[in-house]
Amino acid sequence: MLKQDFKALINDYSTQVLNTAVRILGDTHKAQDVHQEVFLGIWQRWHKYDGQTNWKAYLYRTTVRKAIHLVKKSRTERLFEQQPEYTSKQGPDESLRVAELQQKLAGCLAGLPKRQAEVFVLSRMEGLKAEKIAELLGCSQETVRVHLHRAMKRLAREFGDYLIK
Amino acid sequence: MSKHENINELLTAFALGELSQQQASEVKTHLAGCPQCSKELKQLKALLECTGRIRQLSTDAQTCESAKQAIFEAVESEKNKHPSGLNIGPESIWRTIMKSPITKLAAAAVIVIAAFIVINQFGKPVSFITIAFADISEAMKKVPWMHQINKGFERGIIGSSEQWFGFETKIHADKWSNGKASFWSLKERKRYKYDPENKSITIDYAPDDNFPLNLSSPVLLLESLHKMLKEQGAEILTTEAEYDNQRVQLQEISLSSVGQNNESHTLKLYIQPDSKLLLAAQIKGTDAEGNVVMDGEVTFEYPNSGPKDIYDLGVPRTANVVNNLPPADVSDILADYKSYRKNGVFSHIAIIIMKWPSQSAQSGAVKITYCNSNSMRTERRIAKRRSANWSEYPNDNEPNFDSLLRWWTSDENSKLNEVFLFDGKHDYYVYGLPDRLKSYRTKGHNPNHKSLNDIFWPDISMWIGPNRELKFVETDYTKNNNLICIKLLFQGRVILSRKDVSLPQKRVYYLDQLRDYICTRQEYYQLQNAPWQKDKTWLDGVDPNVIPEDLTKLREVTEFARTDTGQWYPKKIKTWLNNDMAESGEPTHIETIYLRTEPQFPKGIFDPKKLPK
Repeated sequence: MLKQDFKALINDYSTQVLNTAVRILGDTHKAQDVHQEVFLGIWQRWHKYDGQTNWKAYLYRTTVRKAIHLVKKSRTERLFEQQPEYTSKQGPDESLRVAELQQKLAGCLAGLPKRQAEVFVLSRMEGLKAEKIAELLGCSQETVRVHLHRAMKRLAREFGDYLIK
Repeated sequence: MSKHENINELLTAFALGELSQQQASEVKTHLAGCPQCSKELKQLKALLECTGRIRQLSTDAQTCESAKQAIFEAVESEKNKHPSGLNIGPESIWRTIMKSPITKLAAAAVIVIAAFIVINQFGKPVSFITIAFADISEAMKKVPWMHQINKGFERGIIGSSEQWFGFETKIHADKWSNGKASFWSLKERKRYKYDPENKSITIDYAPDDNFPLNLSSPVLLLESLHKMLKEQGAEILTTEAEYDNQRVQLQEISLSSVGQNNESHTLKLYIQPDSKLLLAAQIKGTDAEGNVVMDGEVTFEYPNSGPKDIYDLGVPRTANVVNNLPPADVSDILADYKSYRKNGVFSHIAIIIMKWPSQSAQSGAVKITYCNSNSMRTERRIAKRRSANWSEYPNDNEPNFDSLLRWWTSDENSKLNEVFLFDGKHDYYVYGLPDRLKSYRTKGHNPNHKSLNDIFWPDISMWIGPNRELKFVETDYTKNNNLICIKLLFQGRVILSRKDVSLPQKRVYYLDQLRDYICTRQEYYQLQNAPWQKDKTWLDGVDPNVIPEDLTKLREVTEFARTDTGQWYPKKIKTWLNNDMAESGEPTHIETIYLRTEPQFPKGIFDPKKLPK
């Protein structure tokens, strides 16, 4: 695989990767970080790809996984930072302040099992049909429906009250 | 399944409009009489409406273009490193493994192999818990040296190396294909490193507790290794195999979910059945997509002698020597301090009353901390500002540990705001209001979450090392108060690929020699324009958005107390953040500690299964 092919890959899929990341993360800078991590990861293994890779599917999967990982990481860091005794000037009530809408959803997404989160993002944030998701993830449409159902139930439970208010 | 449950299962499909007319009609009929399902449907619809809005988000063309350019530039810079365009760096696989912060076990993988020689004395599947160490053959105890030769690649980086482990001499040495070498004498607490690029040997202070495993003997090495493996959840499968035209025993050790990328690592050990000595090993790592990220081979020898110094590793005697060792008296002080640090207020329950005087006279929190040698649990209740329930806060004028504990355990005050637990393996965190608790578990332990011991007897392992400078400062104040003042200066650094900026830091510690070396005062400065930063252009070209804000923090113990056994501990601590000292002189917060050492811990207090839900 040549370097020109890699450039073509970036030109073809940059927008897809960035859009998916920004929908999950709600932050352009973080989305760019994910974009960079995804493509540099591919470049480092470029000599191993044989031209048979389904890039669309691979990039959807990798982007969702890396973006959710980033949410988990920053959520952990943020929560530890909230402890006011040594790190923050904020008063005691501040640690319970409710986060922004999208960050909140991202935080809930990070708590889902990996496959459920992938299906939910591809279905509800990317607007893909069950048939397409099944093809991308290499599973049956029924599996996609079950994952989506479970993810939605859990997210609605965790997130719904906040939205209704 | 009841009718309600059946309908409830259809709610997401109903909200998505995917039901047949008949099913939809059934759901509507049920909804009219079921407030629970109606509420769930309302939540589902709100979620769908929210994600519908998120779906409209996209990045603009300019952002997209700049992201693409960033990749092209990064690839160009990688390409320039090697004519093939592959990411072949100067360091070998084993060096990379040893350095990797994400693979704690892999970091010890090479040493792991050494230790398995001993495991295989048993010639059967190994149970880490039931090994009788006393049974290990005398012959194994007499193995003075192990020499291993490693070849392979990791993440496209190809390399080879050799390592030596001296069990009697307590030496670990290594030599890399790129000319780098290191020699660590655990006895002398010195590490020599040779860098062929500038042809210099650097000597650093390296306490033996920095070494990941116990090198005192093969047995203790193994014991410490087992602990590490158990924590990582390794699985072992023992079979027979053929190696070099002879029947051998094969042990396959598997680890899943290694590091942030969820890699799977497999270590195969080939063992000579008669002598039970390890002949060779293979290590392989794959990422979540099945791509091979690490592939290496190891062979072993058991010589009677090994390198005596770094020159025995082929380092030229003409190399410059950079001595970073602290003066002898500093080493003595650090050794003294280390012994006090180990004795700190180890096993305890502490009740801590916190106040934020600058915000409101009624603002505060109460914490209780349970701490033993392996685990720590902290519970915190926040007293709400401008709230009538402040009366729940202990208002005894002269509280003591027992009165506070009674207050803490009384039913009416049992509303917890936060519980943090470290059970020796993971951090658990539960937070929120009593009726809306959230919780999560982390993969490892956040080192920033410190116990009282860690705060008042800080870890010295970070005091001496690269990119930092340690000074002992003597002033009238330190002399008059029997304090040792240690000043540490850290240079600021930029890690461009991660867009990570670490500002220059200054840390000043005052250790009280008459009070068990308690760190009575700590100063912390994190400044962008620090006068001690040697390279003044270090931030050129860095995105200002990724540069952290300046931070200053000062913590001082203003009252001390002693335990029944005479151990000193801090009673009252004042902390100032940023400009609070200069602006008002008022501390940002004040903590008063009520302590009980060697306590009877409540049953299950360190059990994650018993956390509030």
